[in-house]
Amino acid sequence: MLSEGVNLAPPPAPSLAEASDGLLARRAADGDARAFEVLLRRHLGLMTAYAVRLTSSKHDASDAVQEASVAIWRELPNLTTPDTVRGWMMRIVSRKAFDLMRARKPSDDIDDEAVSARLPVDDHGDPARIAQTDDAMAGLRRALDRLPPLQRQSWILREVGGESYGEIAEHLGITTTAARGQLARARETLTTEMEAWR
Amino acid sequence: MSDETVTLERLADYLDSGRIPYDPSIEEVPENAGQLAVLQRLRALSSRLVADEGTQESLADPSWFGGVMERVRREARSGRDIPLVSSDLQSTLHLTEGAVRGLIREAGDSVPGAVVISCGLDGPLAEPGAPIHVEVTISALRGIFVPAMADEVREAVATRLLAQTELVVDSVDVIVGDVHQLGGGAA
Repeated sequence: MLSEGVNLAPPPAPSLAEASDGLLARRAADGDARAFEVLLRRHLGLMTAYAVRLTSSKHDASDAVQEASVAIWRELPNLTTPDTVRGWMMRIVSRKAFDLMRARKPSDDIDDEAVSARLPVDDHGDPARIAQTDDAMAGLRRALDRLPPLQRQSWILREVGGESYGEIAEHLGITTTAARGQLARARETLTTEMEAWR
Repeated sequence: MSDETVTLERLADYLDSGRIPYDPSIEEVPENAGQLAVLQRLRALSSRLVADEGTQESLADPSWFGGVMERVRREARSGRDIPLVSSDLQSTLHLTEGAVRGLIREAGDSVPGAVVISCGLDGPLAEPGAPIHVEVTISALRGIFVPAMADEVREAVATRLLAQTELVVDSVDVIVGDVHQLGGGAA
């Protein structure tokens, strides 16, 4: 008890709520759990939504974000560019999301064509109607949901997470060339569908 | 598809490069420029989609968040132990370096216009009575008169450590590492 015995934790300083990500990251790296808490709360929604998009499961996303949060705290002292902490946090989220998915199905060797083949047959919403609703976002959401998992994950990792082809390949357990291929197909499908929304 | 049409992959790489250097075979061929715009819009929409979904995420129930923070605190980087000589239980009673850093942050933050970024303790902390040197890096509110504020921070930190620890503080250096503005993070 004694080493922790003197309770020195003050109530949250109001200034932290307004502090920049970079400041919070540096302060958290210096051991301030409260600064970490502010930083985490600020980005938790985005981290969770990103994990949901990658895992297609709220439950897995919640577990992945929890693991990521602890890893972020642990690894913050090694972050050399605190001002880019948000992107770095998102990378840890994706790493943990794929660690989790791999752990869930250790023997399931992902065959990418087989994955696509298992998907339900294309059930396109009527493009004209989508255009009418003029809701490109809803259109994109539906189009993403229809993509085969590897394509969808590659797209999200690349366009939302800003990850490199090499990183994407590592997450998905495929070669860099295959990752490029997945992205090319996702791009092809999404641009075609997007033209239909206009 | 005309001969001048380039692949989507090339368009994506071109976007990745920030459209630099300017590529007339893309920018000046209507088909390509059109596809480039589509791709650009898709990217923006994808980020927005996840950001929007993020704002709709019911922000973690308190027990989930509490669980995370509990694990974080369990892994607190408490640093070196600093013995408290004046106690009767001197063999066991000590402050951690992490707790002292907490005091320094609290003291520094109490000065209007200052937010502590990090701090360092230099010297033989485990040796009672040995003089130590404290370095505090702060972010200063834009527009504030920095020398006076730095003095206040120095004073506040020294006073707090004198009052709540047995450390013999030889000097406190204040470094202004950053400038911030209210409501807008780093300037």
